[in-house]
Amino acid sequence: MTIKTLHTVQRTVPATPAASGRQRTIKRETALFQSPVTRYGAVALTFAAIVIPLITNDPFVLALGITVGIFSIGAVGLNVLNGYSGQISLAQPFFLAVGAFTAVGIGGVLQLPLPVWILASAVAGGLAGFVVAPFALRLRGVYQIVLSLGLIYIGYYIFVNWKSLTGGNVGTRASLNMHLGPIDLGALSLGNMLYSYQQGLFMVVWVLVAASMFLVHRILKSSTGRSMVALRDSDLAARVAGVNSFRTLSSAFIISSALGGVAGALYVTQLRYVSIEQFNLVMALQFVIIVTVGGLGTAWGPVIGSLVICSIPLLAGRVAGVLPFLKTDSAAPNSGFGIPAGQFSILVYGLLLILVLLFEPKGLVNIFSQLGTKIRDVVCGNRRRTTTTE
Amino acid sequence: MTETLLSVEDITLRFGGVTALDSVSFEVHRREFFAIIGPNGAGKTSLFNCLSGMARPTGSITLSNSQLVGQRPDQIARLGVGRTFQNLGLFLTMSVLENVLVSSHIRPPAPTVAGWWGRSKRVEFAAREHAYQILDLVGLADFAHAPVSSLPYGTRKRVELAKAAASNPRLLLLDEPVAGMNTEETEELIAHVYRLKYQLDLTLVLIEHDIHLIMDVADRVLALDFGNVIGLGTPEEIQTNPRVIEAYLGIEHGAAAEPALPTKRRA
Amino acid sequence: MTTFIQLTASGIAMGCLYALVSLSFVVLVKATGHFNLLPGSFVLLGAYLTYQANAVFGFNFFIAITFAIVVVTILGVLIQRFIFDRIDRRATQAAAGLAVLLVTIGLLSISQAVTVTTWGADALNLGDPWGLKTVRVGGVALTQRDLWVIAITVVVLVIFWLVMQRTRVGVAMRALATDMEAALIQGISPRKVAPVAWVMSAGAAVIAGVMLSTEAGGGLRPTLDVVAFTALPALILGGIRSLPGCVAGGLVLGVVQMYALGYAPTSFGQSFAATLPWIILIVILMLRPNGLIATRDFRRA
Repeated sequence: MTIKTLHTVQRTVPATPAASGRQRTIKRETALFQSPVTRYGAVALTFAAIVIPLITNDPFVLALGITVGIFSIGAVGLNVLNGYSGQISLAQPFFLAVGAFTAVGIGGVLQLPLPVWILASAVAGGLAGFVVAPFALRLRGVYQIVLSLGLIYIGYYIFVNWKSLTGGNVGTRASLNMHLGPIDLGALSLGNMLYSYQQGLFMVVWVLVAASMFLVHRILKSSTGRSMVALRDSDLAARVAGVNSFRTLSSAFIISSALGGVAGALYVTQLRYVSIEQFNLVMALQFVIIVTVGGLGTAWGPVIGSLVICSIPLLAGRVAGVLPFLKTDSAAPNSGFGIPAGQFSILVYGLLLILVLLFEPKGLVNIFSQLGTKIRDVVCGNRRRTTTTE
Repeated sequence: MTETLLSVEDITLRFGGVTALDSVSFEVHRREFFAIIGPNGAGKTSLFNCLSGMARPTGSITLSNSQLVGQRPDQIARLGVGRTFQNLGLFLTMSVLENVLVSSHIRPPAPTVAGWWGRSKRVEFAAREHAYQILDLVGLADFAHAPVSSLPYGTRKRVELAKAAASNPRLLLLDEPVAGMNTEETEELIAHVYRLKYQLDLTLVLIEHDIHLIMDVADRVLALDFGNVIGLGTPEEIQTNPRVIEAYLGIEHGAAAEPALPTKRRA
Repeated sequence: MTTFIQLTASGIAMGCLYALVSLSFVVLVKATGHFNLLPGSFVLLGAYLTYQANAVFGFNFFIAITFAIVVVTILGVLIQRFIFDRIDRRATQAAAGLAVLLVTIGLLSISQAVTVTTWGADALNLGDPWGLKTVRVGGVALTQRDLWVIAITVVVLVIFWLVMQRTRVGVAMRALATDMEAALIQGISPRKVAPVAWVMSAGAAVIAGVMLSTEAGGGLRPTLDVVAFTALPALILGGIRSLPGCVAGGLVLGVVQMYALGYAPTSFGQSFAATLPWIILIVILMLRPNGLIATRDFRRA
């Protein structure tokens, strides 16, 4: 038998690449942005965040953009929990509520400047997540889902009775301080151009979207992020490899809820009004649909998902009455055949979700990337080379 | 050389009316190549589950001075126990390097959240260097960025091995590492196992069906059947142990030179 | 004292409805192997279909209910054939569970949109035969509706019990739920069991939906599916695999909630009674993460 003789042979280690070569490889791998997509994507996003509101004043575009941005931040957060860590949660509206009312208190009542209430909302959300995590993580599957649903109702109970801050179920108006240092982003003036509240808000929201995507990107590249994905891929193998399941998932929870808090704070700024009634089961389902349809566990999934899901109601409202099967919400109930625009959106949400789950579980991001690859191949005249697996 | 690393005392594991392990006791010496054999259902994997913290028996399991029974799997991993899975516990959405990186952060400990400032960056750097070294030892450095899901079975087994070794364990548990492999592949994998053993100063415990392989590599063997210890000794002793032969075949062992024990080798 | 009896009676009635909805959930879990939110849609559609058959087409009330149950059952079987089976075939157990849940969330949205489109968003009168009439029992005024609810629920429970204990299909269902491999080896086919399970689930849900719509001050409204979800704590309390458990859970919850409505001081705040089940749920889940009545699947450490 030759195996016993391998004892002696294998005492030597095969030659490794030169130390400096290896060092350079590792340095490259730990650099800030790895692929051209992320590098240019980050630049493009920040650019768009600042430039778009400066060149357009179309209220429809701005309103849509702001809504999409707000939901994106919440979805990016939920994606960390759902997509990357494989945990199911319907509780995101609860954390948005926490962030929203923190903002009302700190940015509205106390009128502290923008960075203060944004940070406060993130911290409040994160703290709420920190408190909830030990409860939610002790449970599996159904129990976890139902518990997260329960959080919405408990949140409702807490906030509806805190009338001084939240205005009960009627809600409260809140004009949050939009100052970033000396600049009032709610009434931006550059040179002799005076920009509207919506334009300034758009900028704030999308810069924060970029920041949250960046944060999540870095977390995923760290050991905590890898541990999250490891737990999702194989819970047992991850634990046996030394991953502390509770600590890792708690981190995911806290990140998810902190981002939810920020989203909630921004939610208040759009209408300058908020009510606990808005943070309900419908919103929970919206978030789940956004994250799933966009693409679970992808970087752009939450944003694309938000774009699609938030656009539909606004677009439906616009074309209602024009297209034969769409009526406006205000049309009389029996005025001929047609789906009210509001219901149409809900219908589309459901259909999209089911179609994605059945046919493309990786979400819209995957469809787009495959499409993009095909287009690129056609344009560059490449033949697809089959990749070797060895 | 006969310092005891792992001491298993009177382990009994019961669930749902089944007794998987019944008063199992043995010791593993440092730097030993220890094997566990037994027919299907003998309790080998249950024993591994107890050793890695995935099952909770009565009795005592000590690694050097630490009691393992009652600890969580990740705590046991930090104490220095690594383990491979028979059905491969790989993280299929990640690359080879990332799979190994998950284990590489155990030493030094402390998870880092942001990977780019100061100390975190140095920790990440050190972990990557360590991960690459492990990959070198099993010859997978060229596949570092290949997604694990695209690799053939044999290569995946090597990744599983690297992943288990990357946590710098003192004790490495290998659950049928060469199952489904032919002679060549088996020799190759065992060569990698040896290399890791010597470079990382490991103590190995191996679950295996193939008596030929055990004869070649093991220092001592533990034979199990229906959760009971039916033999403990050198491979020669085990091979001629009548209880062991009966467990495999149920007939009396004659004086034949070739023991009629099953082999999983394909020529 | 009379208040107490009235509250208890109403509590039992409400508890019956929770029990019915929970039964619907549990039967589905046993039949499909995955927890999903379809009972919400069933409750909603069942109630509206009954309305359609009864108030619009003019059928007898109970025939209308039967009609609704039949339609909803067919829907369920189709969903399983074309959607659930497809998912089960393509995904692992854990991923399939999540996918199934999400699909039913999608179906929930669709059913709600269809409902409002077809019947409008305003509350409708279901046209039940007992209306707001009350009955005097020993000096206490009880609504006929509550009594009907309790009576019908008892009938449904008896039917369920008989099916599960005395029929071949019922025993097969229990075998599959307890130990699927052993059952499959014995030749029990999930395919044959499924339609019966769907009928039971649909039946319980539709009846619950119809009853929920007869609530005074409620009526038939498009938010019935959300109302159905308030039964979820009962489901967890009873253990998601146990039929008797969820009935018990539902009854306890209904009664406790009624008492809270009747006796809780206003200092406890608005909507305390509605939140109480969820608070109890959280407390219970913390003490017993597997529900009050632990299920038989053992977990390795």
